[in-house]
Amino acid sequence: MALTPRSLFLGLIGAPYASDLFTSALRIADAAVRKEHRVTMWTCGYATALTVAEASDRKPRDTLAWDTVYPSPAAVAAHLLDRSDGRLTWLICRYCAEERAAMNQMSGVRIRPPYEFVQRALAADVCLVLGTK
Amino acid sequence: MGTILAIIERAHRGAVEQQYAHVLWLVHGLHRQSPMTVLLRGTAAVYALDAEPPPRLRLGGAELVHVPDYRAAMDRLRTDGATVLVSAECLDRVRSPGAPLLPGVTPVTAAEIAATAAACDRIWYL
Repeated sequence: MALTPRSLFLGLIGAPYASDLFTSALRIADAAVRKEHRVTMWTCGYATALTVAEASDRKPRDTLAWDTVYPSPAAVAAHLLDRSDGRLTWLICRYCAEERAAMNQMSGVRIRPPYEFVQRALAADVCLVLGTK
Repeated sequence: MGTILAIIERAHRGAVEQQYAHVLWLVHGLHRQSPMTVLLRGTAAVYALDAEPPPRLRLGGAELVHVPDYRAAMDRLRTDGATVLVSAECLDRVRSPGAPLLPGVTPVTAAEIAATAAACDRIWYL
């Protein structure tokens, strides 16, 4: 029986490079999109800096594996957006982005005012807020 | 040039963000410049366990991300002569009974940690 598409709001409050929170959020978003649900990823804090337009699409070279290419978090986000058929929306908090000089975002990522966090969280069928500020 | 005690207390700091560039990769790079004694404490005690190799991570229908391979990093540390210790107290909290440790890792008591710290010239929390 086909699932009824639902809307999922993922609020990523916790910091990247500190735990596997961002990885978990991506995995949840990807799994939901593949089941044809609609996902809104909302990032706050330094997670807003992961998707700046200036970010390279690959991590710096690994001195132990010089020819291996490692995609940057921005590239992974872009890949997910590209493969989502429009079911993944990636939003970032304007307040957090302004404070961290992350206002120039890559294509496909939209900057939204902070008050929309609650509006969008409440409007979704399912809301999951990850991490602590 | 004396030995540096590198204390690692937090594990799993972002698989997608870090991939190869995790704390054990950093410590290994530092060790090649200056001898390190590595102490695993807290949740980082899991790095001492002889666990399964990291799983593949598929996102957006592709295996883009290289999940951190802590076992390989621990092996490089051992091969290059770094002393790797793990707090026995912390290990008891994260290890199932009988779960094996990686080769070359030595469990140490709190008293032994204190003695090790006293014998090192510098102590870094990484």
